Amino acid sequence: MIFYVHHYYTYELFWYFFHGVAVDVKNDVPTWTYENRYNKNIKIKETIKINCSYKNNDITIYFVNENDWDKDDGYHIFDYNINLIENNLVADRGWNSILNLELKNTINLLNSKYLKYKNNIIFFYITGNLTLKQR
Amino acid sequence: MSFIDESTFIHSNQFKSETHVLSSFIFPDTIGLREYYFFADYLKYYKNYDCKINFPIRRIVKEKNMLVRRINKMNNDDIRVSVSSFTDSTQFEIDENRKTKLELLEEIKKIEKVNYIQKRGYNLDDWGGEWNDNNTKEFMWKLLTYSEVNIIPEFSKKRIDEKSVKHILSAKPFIPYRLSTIEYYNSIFKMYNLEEIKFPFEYVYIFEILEDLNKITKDTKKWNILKSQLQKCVDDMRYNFIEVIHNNNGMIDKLIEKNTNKSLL
Repeated sequence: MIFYVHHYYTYELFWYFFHGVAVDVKNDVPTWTYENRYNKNIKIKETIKINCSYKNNDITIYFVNENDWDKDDGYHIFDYNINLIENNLVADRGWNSILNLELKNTINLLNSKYLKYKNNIIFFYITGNLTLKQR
Repeated sequence: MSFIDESTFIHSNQFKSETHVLSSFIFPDTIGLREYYFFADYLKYYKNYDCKINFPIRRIVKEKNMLVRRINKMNNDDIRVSVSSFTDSTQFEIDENRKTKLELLEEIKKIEKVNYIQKRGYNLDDWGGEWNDNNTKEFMWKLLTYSEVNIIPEFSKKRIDEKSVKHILSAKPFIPYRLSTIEYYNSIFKMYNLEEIKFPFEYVYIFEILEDLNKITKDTKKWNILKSQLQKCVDDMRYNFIEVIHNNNGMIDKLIEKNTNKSLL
């Protein structure tokens, strides 16, 4: 199973989307080290690949940000609220109920990708201000 | 994904991943809820509480005020109310009900022994404002250490919010405003074959057990029994919560199920 995550890589996002998987945390889940410590506050634009498994299924995850929408061999993940946080459009709660216009833009983006590539898209969306339900 | 229209409601292929609901409170850690998980080790040895039960309030709403009045009426020093400076701050709470809320706040502040938490103190006592991340810190340091047990107001039976998550991660005993909070978690635990939580009381709204709590808090032996029952509940919930997100992934489970069904056809 292959996933293309259309967000900047962070170890936190890896656990958010892919909790429950079996993974070599020390070697396969990148984080900052002595060598790259000065880059800690710079968004990671490069593709990050992580191999793991889940209930006897091999899984390959690519954090690709805006790239690789054309890949048709896996599932494309896009999270509305993570996208708002990445673009500094919300406060720390990650949700703002007056941003429905932004949701419309997001849906237009996903529709355009689907119409162009006919690929599998998984869209995460929190349904209400206090509910924090993820769809 | 099917083609979706431009409305805010997606009609088809919708699936709720409960493991992502729980995980979304922890990662990305924008409001600091993850710290509560580590705070459990500190709370385990903390004994210097001011009272047995506290009802902490930040945002004042009518349901909370109803409970405040009932607690106040009992006149029991072991069941108290605390209120944060959220409402009388002009940083956030500005809406058409502000006048009513300010009146309610003044009413609460007049209660004897009410614990009023002022967020804008001098220098080190300045929490910076009323934003989600510093409200979370305020709650962790000021309110998990104030009473042995907290009452938490989660009003809908269809959802949970950060209040129960805070208490579960930090293994802090709590009594929910509605028992449906416990039932919501039990529905997730059941889904993943984990033992359901047996809460010491049966009720819909907390008002039904207030008199029991009033009596129990006045009897040390009974209180200790209840406290250990509530501690066991939250310890079990914490264990289950972690088990759910460490061993399962609702999204991938759904995809595996979908692919299996497809190959069978």
